[in-house]
Amino acid sequence: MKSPDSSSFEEQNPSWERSMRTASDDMRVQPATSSWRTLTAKLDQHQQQKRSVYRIGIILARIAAILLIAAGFWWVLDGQQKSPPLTSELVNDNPAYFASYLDVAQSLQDQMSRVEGPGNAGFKESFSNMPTTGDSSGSL
Amino acid sequence: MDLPVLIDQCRQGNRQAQARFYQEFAPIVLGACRRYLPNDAESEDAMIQSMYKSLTSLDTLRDPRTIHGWIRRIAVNECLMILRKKKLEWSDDLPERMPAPDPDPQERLQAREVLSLLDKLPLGYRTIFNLYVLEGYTHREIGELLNISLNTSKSQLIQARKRLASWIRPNENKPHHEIS
Repeated sequence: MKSPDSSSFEEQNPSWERSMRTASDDMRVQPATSSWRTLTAKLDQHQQQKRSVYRIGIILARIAAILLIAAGFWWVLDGQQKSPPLTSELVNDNPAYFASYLDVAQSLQDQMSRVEGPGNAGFKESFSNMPTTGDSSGSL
Repeated sequence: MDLPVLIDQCRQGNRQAQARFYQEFAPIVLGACRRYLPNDAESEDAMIQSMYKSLTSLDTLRDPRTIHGWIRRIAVNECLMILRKKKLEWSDDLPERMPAPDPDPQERLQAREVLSLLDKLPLGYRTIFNLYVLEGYTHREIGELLNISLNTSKSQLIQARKRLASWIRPNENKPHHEIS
């Protein structure tokens, strides 16, 4: 809209235009009595539409809440099924566990062979020439 | 009742407050619509639609003090919508015979005289004159509102002013002004 302080605008507007503007600002035309009834009917219709939209909104919100709760339950139950097994027998199926078992077995074997090494074999041989005692038939 | 209180009650859907609101603003809105639309039934319809839009969109009104301008803009837009449907013709043709209203230029024009003068203008002149002189829109804004060129808006205003001036000041032959 034009700025009110525009001098050129005021100069271009003769007094009758200003007079017209003032008169149009003050202009009041009384509406017909039926107009209020028409307006209230429209407002009532608007209120009804608003209410029905509100109801639909509530129903949708409830459905969304139910779906959300169902999804939550599903997630919890599904998560429990997929959780890592805690039983030892299931651990044995794991290849990594099997490999580590083999390592342990190998290292135990190595230890045994070290314990039963050459020194230990000589010690056993020193006893081999000695006469047997006890209820052995050869010594009697 | 205080205007902000009245507006608040209208927002809450209070029917009595809405009736008060209608009593207060409907005559102003109908006055504005009547300036744009010569047909009484059309202007009444535009007023009802404007009041309906105002009452159902009061939540968008931030400052209650600006309600007069706000509601008037709604009314003007409603009238322009009706006028756009009519497909206004922007010709420079003037009616053959024009009745000559003779308001005394020395006295302040009365609202009824303004209406009688506007009613005698062709619809295109009337619309541009209303928008430019009485509402304060610029030619650019009018062009955008009515989807017409700047020059069309200016020429329509010149013709409207010439015509009105010849009715109001029949003795003055000189042109009133030039449009920038």
